[in-house]
Amino acid sequence: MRLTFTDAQRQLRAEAQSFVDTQRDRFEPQCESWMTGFDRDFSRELSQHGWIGITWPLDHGGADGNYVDRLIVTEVLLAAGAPLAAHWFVDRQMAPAILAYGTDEQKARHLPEIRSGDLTYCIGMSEPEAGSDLAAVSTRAIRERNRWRLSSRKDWTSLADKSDYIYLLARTEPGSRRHEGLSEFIVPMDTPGLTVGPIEDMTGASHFHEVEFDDVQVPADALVGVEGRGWHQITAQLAFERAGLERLMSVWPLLNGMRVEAGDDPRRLEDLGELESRALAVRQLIYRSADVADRGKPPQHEAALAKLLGTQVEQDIVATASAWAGPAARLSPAEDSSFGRHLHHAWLAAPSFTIRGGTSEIMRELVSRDLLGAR
Amino acid sequence: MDFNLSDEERAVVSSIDGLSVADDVWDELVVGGWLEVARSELALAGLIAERLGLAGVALPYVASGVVWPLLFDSTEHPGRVGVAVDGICEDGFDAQVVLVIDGETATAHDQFELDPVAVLERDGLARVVDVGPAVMSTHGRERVSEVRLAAAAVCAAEMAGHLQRLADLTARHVQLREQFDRPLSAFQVVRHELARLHARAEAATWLSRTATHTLDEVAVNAAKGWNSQASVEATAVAHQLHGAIGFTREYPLQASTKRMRHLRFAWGDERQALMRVGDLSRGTTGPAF
Repeated sequence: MRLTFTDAQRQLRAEAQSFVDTQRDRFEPQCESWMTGFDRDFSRELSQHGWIGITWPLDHGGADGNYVDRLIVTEVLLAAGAPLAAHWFVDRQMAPAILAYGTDEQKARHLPEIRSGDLTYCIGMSEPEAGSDLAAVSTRAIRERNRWRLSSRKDWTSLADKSDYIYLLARTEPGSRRHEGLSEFIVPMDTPGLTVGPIEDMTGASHFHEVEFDDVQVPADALVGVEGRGWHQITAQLAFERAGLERLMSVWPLLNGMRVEAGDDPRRLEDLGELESRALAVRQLIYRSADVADRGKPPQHEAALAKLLGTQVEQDIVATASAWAGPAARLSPAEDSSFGRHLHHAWLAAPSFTIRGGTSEIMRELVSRDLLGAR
Repeated sequence: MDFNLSDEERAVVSSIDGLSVADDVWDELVVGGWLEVARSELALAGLIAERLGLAGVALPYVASGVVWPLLFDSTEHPGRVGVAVDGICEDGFDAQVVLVIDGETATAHDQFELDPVAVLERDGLARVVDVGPAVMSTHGRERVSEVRLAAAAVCAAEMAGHLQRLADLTARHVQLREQFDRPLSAFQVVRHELARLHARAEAATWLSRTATHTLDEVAVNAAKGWNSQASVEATAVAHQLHGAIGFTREYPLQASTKRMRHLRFAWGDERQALMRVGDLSRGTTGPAF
């Protein structure tokens, strides 16, 4: 075991920190910056440093680094509350999927612009009747000679209004059930018949959308990977979706505020110490997930554990900060201080932490299934 | 970073697992030289404590295998060591030497009088009535503090082992025990509680491993503080899922329950540890560690 960074990893972290420090005037730190902080120019800047596509092979423009390296850079960016949404989803899970399952033509078409920070993707998984039960997807994709015709609706699609492509899961085998007969597609958002409508969440923001497919027609090569093997392909992607530091650090700017607000109050220092300790444990579990991925295995069990614990820490950070702020938080405008501003947003967003990316109930089910199956 | 056990670590795990089932585990530890390991690598000592915890073995390993060798690095090992802080001796039962530690001095005594006060089996607590002249001593606040930090880290590792034991015992029980014509594990509420237990054991394991690998003050206090907190919740879940059988003396769960109650307060209690983490976190912006 080696549970500390190598010299090269320390240097990478220092480079990322140095970059963030030079960008402080450019962005206002925000909670959930990986989902709500949309700044394509910032993403392009990260690309210039080689920090999009870190894990890709060199011949596709990547840095041939590993998942631990990617975590090192994203840890610094998330801690600063930097705007990452423009490239986050695609760098995290679509690009690895294209690299794993895409054709040479698909790689050549999509990867360069993803790598340069010029493309935003949204995730077309959930549907009105397929939330936690993702295998219940009913979006139909019917093959007609050299094209596919798509019909149905995707829900809870973050950033659909700003995306260039949607990466979606659809049922390609009529009459198939559950995990069988599913396939993955990449569909341009400007395809005729595809419409996007906002869903306002309780924070007042509208990064959620519903995406309607009304007989959307795409060429045959929109299919990614093997027809009917979509569930198999998606399993690894879901592990990457769950195993990132964003499942722990969504409210890091608020935690940074608590590190100041604690002052010398012993009770607050104990509260803070508990949250920091739990955060450190989850951080190590997330790095372990990356280490597993670097050994070529999707970190499904490790990711489920980390997400289960990490998102609970996030909610407890908000609950504790809220208790510290007390009733005064109801009276003073959130804009009075950065602590108040972060708390106001985080309090409203907190219920979603243990839902998005797979609910805690699903995570517990995955974890226990592994435990019981192994015995 | 590398989260896999090295060949050397695997060999240690295998050896400790083997000797944990011996009739006299303590003798095996002494003869095998396992009480000297901390001198060369604290992380291995942490792994030994973790495996002893996983095996449900309660021995004065922290005092004898960590504190003594780190304080007195060139002497023959005296055997069972008790460590007295503020007049209370950890692992005092059967101690052959008592170390008395204050803020900046540690003294070793081979003549002493202890009054056993243990209220739980195998907690080994005793009051120090009297000690004879010191036969060895170490001075220096920094050194004594560092050794106490190492002891807290390895203590957290032993707790992590017991937490793993709780999770393993419980997973086995819910599959074997049938109620309402099916195994307990067929009930979703049982599976989810088991997941909660396992998640705490995993978090405790990696937290204490981080502590013993780095001896970083944040990591050690986080491990000792949080593993102690987790032990309370985990024992409650484990007992609940076991039902009455877990409450009996013949079933092994009770031994880990008692041992963790003792370890929770050994080498600094959780409130002090967590407060220290909070204090060290002030003003930072990245991970506190």
